[in-house]
Amino acid sequence: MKEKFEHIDELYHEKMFNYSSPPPEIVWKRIENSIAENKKRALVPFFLKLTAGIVFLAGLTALFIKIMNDKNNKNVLPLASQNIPSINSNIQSAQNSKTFTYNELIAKRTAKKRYHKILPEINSERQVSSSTDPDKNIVANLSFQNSLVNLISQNSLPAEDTSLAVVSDLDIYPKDSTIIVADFKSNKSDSVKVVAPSPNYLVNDLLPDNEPKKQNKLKWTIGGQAGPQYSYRKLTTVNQNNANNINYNNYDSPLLAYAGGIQIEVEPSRRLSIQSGVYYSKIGQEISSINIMYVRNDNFSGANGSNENQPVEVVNSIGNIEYPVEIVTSNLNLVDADKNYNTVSMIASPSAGDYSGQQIFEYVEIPLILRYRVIAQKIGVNLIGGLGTDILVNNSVKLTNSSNVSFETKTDALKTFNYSGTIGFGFDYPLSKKIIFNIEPFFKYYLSPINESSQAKAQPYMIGIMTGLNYSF
Amino acid sequence: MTYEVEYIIEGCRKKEPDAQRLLYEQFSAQMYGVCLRYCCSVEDAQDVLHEGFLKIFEKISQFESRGAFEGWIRRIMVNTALEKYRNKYKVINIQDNIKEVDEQGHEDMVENLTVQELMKFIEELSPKYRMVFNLFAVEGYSHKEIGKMLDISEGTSKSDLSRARAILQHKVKTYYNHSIRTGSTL
Repeated sequence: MKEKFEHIDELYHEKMFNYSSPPPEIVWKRIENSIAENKKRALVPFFLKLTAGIVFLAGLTALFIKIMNDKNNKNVLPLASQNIPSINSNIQSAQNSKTFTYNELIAKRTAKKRYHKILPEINSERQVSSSTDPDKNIVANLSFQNSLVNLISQNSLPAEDTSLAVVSDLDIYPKDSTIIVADFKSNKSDSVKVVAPSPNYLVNDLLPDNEPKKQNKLKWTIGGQAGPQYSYRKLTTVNQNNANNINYNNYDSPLLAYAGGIQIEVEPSRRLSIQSGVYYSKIGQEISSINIMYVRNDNFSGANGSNENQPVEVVNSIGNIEYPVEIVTSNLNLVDADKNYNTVSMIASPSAGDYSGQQIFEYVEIPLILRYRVIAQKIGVNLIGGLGTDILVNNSVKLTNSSNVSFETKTDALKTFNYSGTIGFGFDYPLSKKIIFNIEPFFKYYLSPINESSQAKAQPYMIGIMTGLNYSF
Repeated sequence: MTYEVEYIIEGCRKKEPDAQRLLYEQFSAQMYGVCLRYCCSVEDAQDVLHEGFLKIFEKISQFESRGAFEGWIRRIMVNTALEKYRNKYKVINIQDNIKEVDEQGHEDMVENLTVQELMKFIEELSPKYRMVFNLFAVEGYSHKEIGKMLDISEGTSKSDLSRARAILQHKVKTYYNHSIRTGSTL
């Protein structure tokens, strides 16, 4: 009976091994479409990433320039006195007008958290106006005499009533370096907001009386950070549900690794800082099983007629893993070749559980990170976002089987240069005037697959917490 | 490997569309035959052929010329078919009706069966039996290897092969008797 069964086996092998049937033309059309789609997909993200990078850097530069300009503008010196607008000669003296003392003004401005010391000189007069359009303009003349502030006149009020105008809620504050806003109410006209027409001479008044002008000096910090990170990968191949991906997800699992480095940071403003530096990052994944393909080399003839080993590959979600043929094949107990095939036949053994270990990638990263200080108190809270260039410096795969046979190898065809995006938030606390402690949870994602030739198109991501110290100078 | 195939492979490494088309034309019929043997339907076979050739075009830079190219692409195609099988039939385990058969006196008749007839019998097997029979009888894998490929024990592989053979014997006998009575073939 056994012989008869084997007879059928051989019959099937003989007749079916080289069985061929022309496929319908539609299959090639589908293949062509898939190739074209893959090409498009590879092209579009590149331009998107390039555009996003350019926009990001342009935005960053524009922000930086704006901040620097704002700082510089605050140091503009007052203009010459001839630019001071003349006070309307027809001003009628205000009678019974509401007045504020210096102390009242200071108290009001303190309450509104505006400038505390912006009082004009005593015994001076100021004309403020609401608009440059003559038809809409409201001009008010204020006098600062004998420690009192008086509304002298206001053109929106009938002349005869001007003297009766009672000013309340007067507030004077700078809009920018060249404009003063006087915000007040009167009994004839509620909520009048008038803007000083180029009263540049007031600028000096806006500065603190007894404090020297601060120089526009950028604040720099250097420091170091390190911390654990949980790393894994996202498979970005077209069909997320294909059998390969499902298998990879069954056999791969996240790896707990670490990262650290030195950083340098500049703070162009109180809330914004730009950071770069050099970081080392170890990422990867645990692999509990790998697909193994190998070729039996006994009783089979190679293409040139001699017995020879065929190409061997171990494929997982990241790509092709190199390994020494003699180690792996000698530990897979290849069966005897009991059939005399005429053509080269290959024996594959993709299965679970043969070799397990870690697939590790080590990168040096040069980041460009933007920090926005959301809460600028003693304990600061920052929002973090940026891009980085990740340079592969080492890749290794350490595998061991159940018989404790182990070897170390590497993954083929990994890209040397990669780009990643980082978002996160951070807390900082000053330990002293110069030394700041920080802790920053983050999420980092590689913007493209680290191995373009792999079927699964894996893009690593990391979730971690960095802690460190910064020195400010 | 012929010079022509080497030339085509080199073109495929450079992702030249003409070379890819030539490669497909040269090997698609044989690989489609492999797919048909492993798959439950023509649609599945076309899917596997499609996916398999995409893998071939993608991985062709990894092929080392010292090996047999036909064996390499066949291996990719078989594994693609297995992946589809593992994905599709992970839970479902269809048992065929097995009937004990009298195996006496069919040797000559079996030898005269055509490829189409043999193919039809394989197609009628359940996916699991078809996989085991194809891997063992046609491709030459061992039970241990089949066990690993299909995530089953070696014993199950042997048992499934035995059942697949029994079913095929039964089908052959039935077909033979029917042919004798009617004088018709498939």
